[in-house]
Amino acid sequence: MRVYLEHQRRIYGLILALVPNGPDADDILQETGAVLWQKFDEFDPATNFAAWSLRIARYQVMAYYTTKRRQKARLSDETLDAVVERMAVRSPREDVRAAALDGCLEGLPEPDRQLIELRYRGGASVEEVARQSGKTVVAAYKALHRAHERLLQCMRGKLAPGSAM
Amino acid sequence: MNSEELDELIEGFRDGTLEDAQVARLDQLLAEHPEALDRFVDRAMLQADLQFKLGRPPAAPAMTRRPAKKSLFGVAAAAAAVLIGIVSLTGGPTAPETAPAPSYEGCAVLTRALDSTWDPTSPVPALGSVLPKRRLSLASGSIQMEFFSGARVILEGPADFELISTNEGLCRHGKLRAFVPPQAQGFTVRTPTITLVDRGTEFGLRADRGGESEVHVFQGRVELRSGGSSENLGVGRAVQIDARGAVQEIEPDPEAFLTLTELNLRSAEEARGRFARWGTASDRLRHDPRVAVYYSFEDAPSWSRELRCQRPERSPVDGAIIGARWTEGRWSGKKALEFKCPGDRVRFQDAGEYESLTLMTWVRVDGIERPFNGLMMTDGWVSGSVHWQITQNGKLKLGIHGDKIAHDYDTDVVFQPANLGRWIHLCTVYDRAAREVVHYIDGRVSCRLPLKFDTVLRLGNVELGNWGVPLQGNVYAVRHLNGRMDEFAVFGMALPEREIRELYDIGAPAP
Repeated sequence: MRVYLEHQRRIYGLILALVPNGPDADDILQETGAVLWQKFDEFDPATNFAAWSLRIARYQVMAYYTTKRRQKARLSDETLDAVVERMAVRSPREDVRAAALDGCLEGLPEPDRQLIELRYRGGASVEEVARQSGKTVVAAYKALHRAHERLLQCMRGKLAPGSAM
Repeated sequence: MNSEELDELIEGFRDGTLEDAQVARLDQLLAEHPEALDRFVDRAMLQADLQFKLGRPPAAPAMTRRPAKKSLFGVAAAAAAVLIGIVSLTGGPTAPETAPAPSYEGCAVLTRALDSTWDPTSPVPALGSVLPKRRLSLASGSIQMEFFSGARVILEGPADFELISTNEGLCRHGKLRAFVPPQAQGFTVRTPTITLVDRGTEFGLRADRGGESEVHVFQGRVELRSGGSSENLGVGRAVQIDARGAVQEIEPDPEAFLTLTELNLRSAEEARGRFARWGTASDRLRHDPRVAVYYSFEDAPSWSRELRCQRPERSPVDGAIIGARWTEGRWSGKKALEFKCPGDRVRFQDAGEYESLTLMTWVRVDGIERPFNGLMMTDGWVSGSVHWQITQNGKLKLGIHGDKIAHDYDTDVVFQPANLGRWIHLCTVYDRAAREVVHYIDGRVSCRLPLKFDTVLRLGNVELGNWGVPLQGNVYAVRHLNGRMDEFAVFGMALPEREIRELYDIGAPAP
């Protein structure tokens, strides 16, 4: 299961990209972990664990889409495949990513850092971010875009040059 | 591909607020633009990084079934590896930071006030508030203080009393009766000339400005220290001590000191009078043409789930009570709603459009543990929105959303641990003509802030004590009011300072 833990962040990333934030995303991660655990015999060590585990996570997401019929519109299967494929080739060394993020958060201008804190630590929706930072919703989208853009640039710079994030 | 548009879709997707057409648009962008797909995946990884670093980390997966024999280490070793892994992944920086516990200085709680007036130099403590170490100058009337130690003191004005600690006071002059249970033994009252140390009892003390004092012991024993000597006074004893410390036996006179029963009876009577006077004023208010929305929280049986609107001829409908429970308001017999759980709220509707607005309420704020604690919030956050709330750091906040611009008008810190749990009158005026926002606390101006921009205010769907109905799948922060509300009004104009003062005076639970 250590191998799972090494890939947990990537699996979580996939789920967070495909499912609105909240308890559902955590549930899907839980279920994915449980399925991986049950099916571990079926995994061929000669193949890529990342691709295998992401595929399983993807099926869990699709199962969620099906059971939660309230989700009328969803990303197409082709898009899901493309996302999984792209994500499987990302190099996700947990410790390297965590250290890079620490550095990038430190270097982030204070107003941007506060927005990121609100959004991720506070779990605030964009409307909430707007409300709490005294901005209009449109301005909040723009500010979040700017803050994420800075973080992405910084992460790209810190993670080994040439390799994708 | 426009990265700003993509990011907006990603944020909306995360919040679950995207319309079907927007989801389709996101799908199209990802299918047609490889760089959009790259950014989407980068953002997904970053989101997971941030969630691990800042957010609540996801729970470890439940290992419900034993893996097949392929495992070399067996379940125990695997479990250990999981533990090690979890610690290294989620320990350290993601552990929640513990904030220092809020603190306050206090000795006692002011639990009764009967016809009390205060000297101009004295602080005016509110009923129900915590009394810190401070000198009080009661000009007339009576108050009851409950010391944290358990000792209870009824002080009759005129009196000059200083709280020294949770079990000690200094009476420069005035009359008091003290009740001291065993757990508060050692309760001490000093005057400029004598010291009384309680040994489990009830006693009366009268201190004159000239330095002369009288002690009457009604129960138990009191140790009297005067000059260099000390004497135990038993039940039924009464003594007079002159300014030089000479002690002389006198006739005990329990009638001379207000008893707990008398104080309670008289303050209950006083409260009934205040409640009745408020009722008359409330009737006037409901016929005041300037009032747009008025809820007196009266005229409703305790099983009712409707908050009766007092202006039926106007647009606002009865409020729908969600979760909140009926309870006691400012006076015994006055109805109030209590907001305690995250879902608690009252929803109403008002179709008016306002250039100026006055918001008024009587609330008992019991806690401000969330970043935002809603008083009156319009649904959403769009042009014309009005958000009236209390922040975690204790400020009263009026948020106004104009056309492409928004601004918060905040007071300084108003709510502190020591004044939570007591009834307070809040009033905020949005005055377009005077170009200012004025916040009032208990009928007095707390601050005046210049208007940042003009906008027409619209209420629409409004909530008391909470904010908004989350969209499907959207997670909202907990932001309900923790406390009670027993009167709420909106005036479609800027109410002048004098009238706000009158509203406070007529509605104050005690002098």
